[in-house]
Amino acid sequence: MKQITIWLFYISFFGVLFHGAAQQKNEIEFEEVLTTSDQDSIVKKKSPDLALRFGLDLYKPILSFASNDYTGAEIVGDLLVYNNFYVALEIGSEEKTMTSELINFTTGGTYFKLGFDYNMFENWVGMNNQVYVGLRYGQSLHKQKVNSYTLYTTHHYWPDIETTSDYATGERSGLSASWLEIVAGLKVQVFNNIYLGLSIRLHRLFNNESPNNFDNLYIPGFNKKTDENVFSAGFNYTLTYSIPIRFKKD
Amino acid sequence: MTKKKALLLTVLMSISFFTQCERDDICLEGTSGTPKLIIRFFDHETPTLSKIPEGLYIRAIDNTFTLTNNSSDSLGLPLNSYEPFTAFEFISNFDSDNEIIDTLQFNYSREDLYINRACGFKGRFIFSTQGVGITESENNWIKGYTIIKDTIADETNYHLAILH
Repeated sequence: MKQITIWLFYISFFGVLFHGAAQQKNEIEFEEVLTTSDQDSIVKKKSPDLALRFGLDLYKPILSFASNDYTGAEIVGDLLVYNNFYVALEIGSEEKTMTSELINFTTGGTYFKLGFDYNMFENWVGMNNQVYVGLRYGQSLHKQKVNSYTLYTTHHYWPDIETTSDYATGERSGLSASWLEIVAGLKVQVFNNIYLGLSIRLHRLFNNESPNNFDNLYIPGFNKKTDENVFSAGFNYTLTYSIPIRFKKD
Repeated sequence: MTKKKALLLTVLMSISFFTQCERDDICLEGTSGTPKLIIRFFDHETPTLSKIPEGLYIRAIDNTFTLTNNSSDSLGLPLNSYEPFTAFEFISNFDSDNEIIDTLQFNYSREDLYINRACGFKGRFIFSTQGVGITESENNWIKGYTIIKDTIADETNYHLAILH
């Protein structure tokens, strides 16, 4: 019940945000339906057989632009397959440099997340807005590079000098990780066939190939991995374009 | 429109705040780091008998800090991780008439091992073929040594026996 309230908040929030565009669209469609008294045309107006929606995550390019330590991009897509079920896919690439206490390292790689979304939002006829929950299987292919580090020493008899080459520095490639994600989000039509979406994700790591003499401190798509647990969180903020696909009924 | 933009910006910023905010990872106290070289003093006539040197004073060359531990027959020497050797002056009967200075140089290579995110890497040292060198003089108070462990990976046991 509480969750519904939260979602209602989000919906109303986005509703206010895109009030103008959305309402205009609704009115037009409603009028169209009303004026066409022909029964067939109403049937045709009903949800398309398939609705392919694709686009990109807006946050990652913004962060890439704003930060020197990050470059990333993600393309997203979903396909309405049955009733309120969508097949969903995200493919992305990330390179992130982090300083974690004593270590400076760079993680780079690609990932995909494949799964489904279940829409709980009752749309106007012909619309494709979503308030959804979903599940993903995520997998990365990445590499870790230790750029520099300071040795952990309990005595401070000698001055600490950063190790920037040889020893444990260098690249560990050919690594992979897999995880599951629980997704909750929404997609709102802002213009004709253009949607803005927001999703939050909880990740649970299942498998990760630890690099030689180092660890997957960051995993593309999964985000920061902590020593203590296998969970992480993420989000995306998407701009997508929807193409309704109707199969001819002869 | 500006209101909408401000709202959108607020949302984006609050989201980025939540994702950027990270729990402080603190290296737990008691995690063993880069080990010291543990030396133990023995009697050169009966090498199984530990013997505490008198008026011992140790200082590393190129370092102003002093290291002394007169109450025990063993002590840990911090090796310089950023050089392939460290030399120490072992002074017996320090600040007295029969003060003797023996210089010991330890030669080693270093390997680094990953511990965890918070602690990072710790080093370990492997004695070179010529691991220990003593400057010869007429009256060395240190008569000899035995390398017990040629890899200095932890501080649980002594690595080097010094006979005097």
